[in-house]
Amino acid sequence: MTQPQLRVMLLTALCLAVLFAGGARAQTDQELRTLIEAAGDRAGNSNADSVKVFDRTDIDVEASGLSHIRNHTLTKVLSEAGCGALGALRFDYDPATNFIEMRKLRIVRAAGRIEELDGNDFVDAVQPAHAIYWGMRMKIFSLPRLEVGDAVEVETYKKGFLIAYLGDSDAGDDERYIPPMRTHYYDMILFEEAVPIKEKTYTVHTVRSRPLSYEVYNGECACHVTFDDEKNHYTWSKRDIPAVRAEPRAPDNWDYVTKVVMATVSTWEEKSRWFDGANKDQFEANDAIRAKVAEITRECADDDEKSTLLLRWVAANIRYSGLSMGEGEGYTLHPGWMIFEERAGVCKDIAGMLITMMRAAGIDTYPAMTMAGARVERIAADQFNHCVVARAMPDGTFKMYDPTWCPLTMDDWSLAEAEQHYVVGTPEGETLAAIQYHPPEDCLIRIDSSATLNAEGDLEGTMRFEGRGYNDTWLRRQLASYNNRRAVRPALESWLLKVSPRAELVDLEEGDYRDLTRPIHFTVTYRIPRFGLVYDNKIDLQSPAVQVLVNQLVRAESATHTPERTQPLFLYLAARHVVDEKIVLPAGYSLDHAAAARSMDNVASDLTTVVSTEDGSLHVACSMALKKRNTPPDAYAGLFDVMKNLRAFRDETITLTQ
Amino acid sequence: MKTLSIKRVLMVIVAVIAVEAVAASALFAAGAARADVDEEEILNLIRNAPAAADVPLDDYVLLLDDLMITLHDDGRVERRRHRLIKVMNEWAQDNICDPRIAWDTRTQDLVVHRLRTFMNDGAVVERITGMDKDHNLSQVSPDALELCADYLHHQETVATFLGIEFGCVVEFDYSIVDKTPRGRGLSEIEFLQGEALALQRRLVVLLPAGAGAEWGSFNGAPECVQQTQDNGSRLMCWTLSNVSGERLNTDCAGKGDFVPCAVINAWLDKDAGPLGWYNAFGKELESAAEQSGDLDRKAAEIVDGAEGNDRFHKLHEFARKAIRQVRYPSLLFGEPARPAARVFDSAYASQKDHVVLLWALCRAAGIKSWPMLVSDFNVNGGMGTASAMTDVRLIVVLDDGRYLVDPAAPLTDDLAMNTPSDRIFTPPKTSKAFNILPVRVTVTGHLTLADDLSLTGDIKVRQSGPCSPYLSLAGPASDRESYLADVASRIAPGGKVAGHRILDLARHQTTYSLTVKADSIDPTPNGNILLQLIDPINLVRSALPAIADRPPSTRTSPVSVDHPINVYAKLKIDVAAGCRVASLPREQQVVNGLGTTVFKWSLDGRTIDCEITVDLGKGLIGPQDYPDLRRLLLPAADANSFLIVLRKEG
Repeated sequence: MTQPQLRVMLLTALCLAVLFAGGARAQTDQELRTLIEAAGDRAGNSNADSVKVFDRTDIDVEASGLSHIRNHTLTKVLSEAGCGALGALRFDYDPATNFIEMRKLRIVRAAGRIEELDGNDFVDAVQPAHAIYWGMRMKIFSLPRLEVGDAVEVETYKKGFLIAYLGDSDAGDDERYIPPMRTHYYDMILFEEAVPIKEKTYTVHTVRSRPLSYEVYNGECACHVTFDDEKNHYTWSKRDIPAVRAEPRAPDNWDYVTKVVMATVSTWEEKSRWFDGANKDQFEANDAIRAKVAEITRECADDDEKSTLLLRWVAANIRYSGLSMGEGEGYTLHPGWMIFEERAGVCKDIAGMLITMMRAAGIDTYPAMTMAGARVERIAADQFNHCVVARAMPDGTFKMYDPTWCPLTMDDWSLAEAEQHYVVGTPEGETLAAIQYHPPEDCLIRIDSSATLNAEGDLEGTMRFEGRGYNDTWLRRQLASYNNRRAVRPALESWLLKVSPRAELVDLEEGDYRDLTRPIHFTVTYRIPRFGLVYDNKIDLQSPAVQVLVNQLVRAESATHTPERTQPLFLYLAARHVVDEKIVLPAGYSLDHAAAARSMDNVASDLTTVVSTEDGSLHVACSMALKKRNTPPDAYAGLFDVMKNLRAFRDETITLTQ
Repeated sequence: MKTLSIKRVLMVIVAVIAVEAVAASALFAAGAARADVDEEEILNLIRNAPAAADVPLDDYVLLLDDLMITLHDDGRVERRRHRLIKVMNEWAQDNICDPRIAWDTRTQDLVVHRLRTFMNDGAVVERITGMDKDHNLSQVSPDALELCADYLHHQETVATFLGIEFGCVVEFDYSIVDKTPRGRGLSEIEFLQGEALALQRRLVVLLPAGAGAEWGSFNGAPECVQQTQDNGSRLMCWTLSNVSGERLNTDCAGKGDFVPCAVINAWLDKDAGPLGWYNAFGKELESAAEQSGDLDRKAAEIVDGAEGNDRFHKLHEFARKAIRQVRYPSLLFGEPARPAARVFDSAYASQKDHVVLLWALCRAAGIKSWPMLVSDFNVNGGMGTASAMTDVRLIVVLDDGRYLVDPAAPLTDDLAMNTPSDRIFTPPKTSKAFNILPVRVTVTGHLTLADDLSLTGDIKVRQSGPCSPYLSLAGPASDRESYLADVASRIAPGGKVAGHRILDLARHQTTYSLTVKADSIDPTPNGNILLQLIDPINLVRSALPAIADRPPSTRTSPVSVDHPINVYAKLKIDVAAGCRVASLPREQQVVNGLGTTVFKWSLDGRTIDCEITVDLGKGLIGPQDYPDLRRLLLPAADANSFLIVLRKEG
């Protein structure tokens, strides 16, 4: 959509807007009590432990981009568990980039009495953190004992923004709170939460020269836009919002709850240029880096090979652990020399290391922002959670590299990130783009199974596992990083134990998981005494390899036991799963009964299964594809049907007769 | 009956370590048993470290692992740990290079003496150019405590190792020092074997002159070497070399029952003696649970209208639902118990504070109760050292007996089963809360498979010991029905309760009869009628070691059978005239030093007779005896052991 089209859309939204008269004004205590009463009890709120009576946010954005955020909430307690959950309130902040204070903290008791609490009575502590240690803080307010029916009223004032950024220490007090992309503002509002909300209102005021582009996704809400001589005024609101609970393997809730995305930045190109400018000085190599690059690339024939080897070195040697570098933290990539010394960083720093090394090798590269786990909407608001590397190719396109997701990966780009949106930061400015779709065959995983069954029902055999694309990576990580060395064998043995408690892993033969020149494989040799059920000159059994495939290797398995979904099924990648199994039968036995062959195909998945015998052997063949990284609810029925049939195939008895 | 055969293995370790102890003695005499190790020794250790190929099962290797614990004469405790770690592979890179040190910022200081990395090219990385020395030390709040303002002074410092590459060696040397005396002396258990190979491991304890002490070495740990210094202070040193790494199986016995360890209690107050900490703990809880007007009123309000045991059940339900329990290791002994009234007001509690609140409520309501400590293992002859205690619970005396109560969990019949009395420590120490009762299940019955392939019949179940479903059967009707429905569905798939009688209902002994009716069994596509029949073992499943997910080839740790177990079932099944029995489950008989399993099936005309016996003795079962245990329990774990195959005749 072009910018004029977007404006037309905004005007249309304006014309259709429903105005919420009560959003911004103060309310009397009696009015609060009336709202609390009207919010109802647990039974009227889907058994929730609490309900938000209202959640009102008002944001005033100065010309500099500095924002003043006032939030006013009233939450009613509906259960004893809710009393415990609301007994302490947590407010996060980063002392370097934002500031928060409690303006009002009150408890409206069920009997009507109102208790005023001291907004300065809190504990200030570092937030819990794992892998990213940037010193973010939190204020914890402990409330007096709450009872069911009480409501908690909170008014906070906050200024600043939510990406870590240290301003010039000599600058004025507010300077540190001005966002790195000065004069601009962006945000994304999610309307549904884990608790029901009776009313949610969000108002933003921007200076006249900075109008907001915005769009509503995944649902509806009321909105209106007005302006006066100084400011543009935007309000979005919604009433009676039910609680939302994530279904298994749903994408980030950005993809399915009602949201408004807004930004004063008008184009992605503008964002791209800013990102380039903010980071352009971070990729200077020093002698140590240049020496390492020369060592890694000395036998490379071309830039493709250099890029791949440098990617692999960074992926293997820069571990994920982020320390704060102080000024610029949060949106600036750490300098290459720093990461080279630390050998650790978060995604942006790991990407920065690769850019530094590729540039040192004479390869034209840039940082890129991407979003792992949800889509990026067309409004140029910051919707990113991940940083990668873009290599400028001679034909004007970019080839993408992700050193953070590529440890133990043969590919330059993890196929668990297919179709992902990204914006490359360049001096010229780039627009929003997406990684191409990868068909299921690119992430094949297969089991080649060979076994012998005797007349007592004992089974002995091998299963050889091999993958492509992300499934090759996944298999490598079974051997290397998901399990420690002593745990690898028990982990693989547990796969067999789900086939039968009598299973025993006899031997494990592993390929070299660090050899990225060829696909990894490993082979388990096993035996299962009394695997087949022997009776009446017959033996019943199920395919051991199909059981392992379904139980361990199909990532949709645990999330596809209900016939309907309201949220997308997010699997990260399309993948094909193949079993080719041959079981040598005891002398004189032949196939008596097996399920009929299946062949199914739909937009999200396919399945073929065949059981046959030939030369005294049973042959089980199964091929199943999950075709989409993200299956929308309206395409889920077909996928569910395929999974149901796959599970049925796993459980079906094959009968042999003498 | 074979029980503690793991001792054989440990004896071997003792023999090996005895040799090491002689070496330790020499080392000790030379004064090397200290946290400060000189630079040349460090470089030597690095030079002589094994390569990854030499230790293929080790993700990292501890070239040096020193722990020095000092009890100062004013009662302060200092713990200094000095480690030299060689990083071998990806797993180590991802999992050990950001260690977290937990400490109490209110009462302790954390001092990092050295944090540096020796890279493969000889470079030593101690800090990043231009950054502070503390740049890679990050203080964070523990996840468990994020909303608990009263506990948030317990913090964690993450040390981010810099310059990590495969084959590098990291040196990390730090102390945690009490700011003020704790007044409890020492009460420690230190494990001397971990998940990684340790080439040198030393535990040094320094006690001031005049301090009383008792100590012991267990599970094959070497005896300590002692020396009294000129100033009267005492040094004790445990030294080991080449201690192999062992990754504990997740379902293993408590590690204190088999991992080599040293236990030491030391005290400054002669009157308090070794149990000083123990009595202090009892007094601390007693004081915190003192009654207050608000709590008395709350207790009265909660039990209003209730009678008998229901009064306790209501208090327990309140404590369970209205208080959020948080678990963090140092809150048990490293944090004073909060007054019950404060716990009530804050709506969150450590396990200790949770017990304090429930105890206070019980006392207010006149219900006899007292707190007790629980260990995951039987701590070596009952030395009962504080750091071996893992939980605190409440014993409550109700009309029908004593209950072991976790304030955060529903009251269950099998809590005592999971916590046998030899792991319970109640002030005074000699008081035992429960006897170890055998777990017994007896099932008898007669079922009929009709022509329409429906199954009906009567069975009688007797369960005694801690697996008795007394609470389920004595509680509300909905609980009783739900329990019996579950049993019926285990007797026959899809089985429902058509009638029942409770014949005997007492704590630790219940008997009931059930009339079960199951709908028609659908034949399989190949024409079989599969009758997946009774699995009485399921009724005591939680008392059995979980063998199904742990075959012998990866069993490295012992398992514990906490109660003697006896299961017996005798059933008759009449088969309709239109059906033919194609296959009965195999007869299975396993008799070994650990117990007996017998599965007998026979067919007499149209009647199937089934007799199942599983007997297992209490004890610790080592890896070498695990195959015997697995042979005993496999028949019960395999669904085919209960599968009857029938076919329609004609």
